[in-house]
Amino acid sequence: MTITLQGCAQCGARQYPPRALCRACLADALRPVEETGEGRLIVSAIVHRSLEPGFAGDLPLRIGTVHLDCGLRIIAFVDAGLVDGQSVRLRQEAGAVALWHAGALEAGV
Amino acid sequence: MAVQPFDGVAVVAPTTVRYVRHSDKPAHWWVGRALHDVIAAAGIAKEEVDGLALSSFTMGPDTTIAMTEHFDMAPRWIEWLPTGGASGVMALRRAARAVQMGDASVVACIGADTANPASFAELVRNFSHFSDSAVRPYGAPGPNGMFALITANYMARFGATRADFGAIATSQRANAAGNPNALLGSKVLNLEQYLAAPAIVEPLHLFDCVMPCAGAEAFLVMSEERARGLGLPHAVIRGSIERHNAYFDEPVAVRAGWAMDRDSLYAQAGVGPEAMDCLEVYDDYPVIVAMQLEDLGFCAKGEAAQFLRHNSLTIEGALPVNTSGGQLSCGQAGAAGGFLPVVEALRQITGQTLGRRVAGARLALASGYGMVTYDRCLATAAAVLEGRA
Ligand SMILES: [Zn+2]
Repeated sequence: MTITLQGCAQCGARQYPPRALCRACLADALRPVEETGEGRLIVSAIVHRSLEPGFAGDLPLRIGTVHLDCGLRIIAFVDAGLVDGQSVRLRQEAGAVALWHAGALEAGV
Repeated sequence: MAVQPFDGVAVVAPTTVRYVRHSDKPAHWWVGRALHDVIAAAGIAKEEVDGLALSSFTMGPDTTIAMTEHFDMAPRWIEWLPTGGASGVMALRRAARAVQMGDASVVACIGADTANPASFAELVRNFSHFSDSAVRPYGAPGPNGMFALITANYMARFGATRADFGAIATSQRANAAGNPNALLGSKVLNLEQYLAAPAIVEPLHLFDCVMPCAGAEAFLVMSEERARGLGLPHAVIRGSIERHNAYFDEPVAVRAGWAMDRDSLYAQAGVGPEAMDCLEVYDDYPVIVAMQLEDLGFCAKGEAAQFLRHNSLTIEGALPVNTSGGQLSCGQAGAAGGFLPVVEALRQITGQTLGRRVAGARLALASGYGMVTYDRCLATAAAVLEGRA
């Protein structure tokens, strides 16, 4: 199972969040690229208060910074039981906004 | 080419428009009030102001140019600084160069914002494309979410504890006592209260977070000669730095642009951090105060917790930090929060404090940090100011 990120056909850079041009060489040569989604959960935090009432029913939520092996960092929801510092795999939940979730590496998807 | 000195430039008339928790008035009122008060403090007419530098988050579609019409001004130089926490030092730097080069004679630098219950959530919602697409869907934690991650990472990496950050919050609250502009200044905060506060985004709890409010901060930049002619106590700029998006490849921020430029800052100033009588830093969260202690050279990277265990940040201590109480005690009046370090530094070194003064303060460092467009603030700036009677 792979994840799809924005990549540059000219210089090979990957980027997140998505941009209008390549962040590194500025080429207009972006296309979707497949990556493993493997990385490390650097750190996580527990959201108890949201700025938007629409999230009230979901709290508390655990979010974290995942540092992908390809060098990018992504803010993601963090599955229960994960420990800061451990290896994780990102998966993307389909929807109007495709949300990232970090899960245990072994579990796959 | 080396950074050119800021010779001949004076900073005068530290001005604060009293903060309030909520305001029905538009940001334009706060800008205009600050302008009214800052020229009154300097004893000059509005027509003498020929440069205007503004920062605000709540003026809607308006920027500096609209304010010239709003207040019947015809300046020959304007600047707009949508850079929040760094905007005060950035305004100072730009105004100083304009005065040195003759592009303006008297520049009013103003940070002002209004606040109502809806405005803060609205501001966060529309803050940047990246935060809207890549942070907001994750529970809309706002800046609290990103700085909780920065704080948790800092704690794990360097062994800092909540009590260490509590030392920052409680010493700033002690400094706020006697400052009538500090909205929380009359509320005592001790370590037990700090530790017992409700969680916002763990590890951040209530007293790690600033309270949004309305208010304004302002100062004038003019030639030293003019300041002396007006008989105004003033400060000169001994050195100044600015940096944006430093260390952008680091997965979680443990340092920011000051670390890249502090050698230049102190080389310009001709003195080191040990010479500072007070330090006015941007304090959106205690971890950022800790980061500035390190990145501005007051202690080594990762050693702020140790530093805090042995040094008080109170006005009576060896290194007074955020002598007005900072935003953690005054409230965060939007972009005015980015002007507070400059204005409070100017107050301390010219003997015009709202609250207590660091005895004999002459040299101050003012620092800014702004714009969390994704997972950290991008803009950093700092200036060393020296008071002249
Ligand atoms: Zn490229």
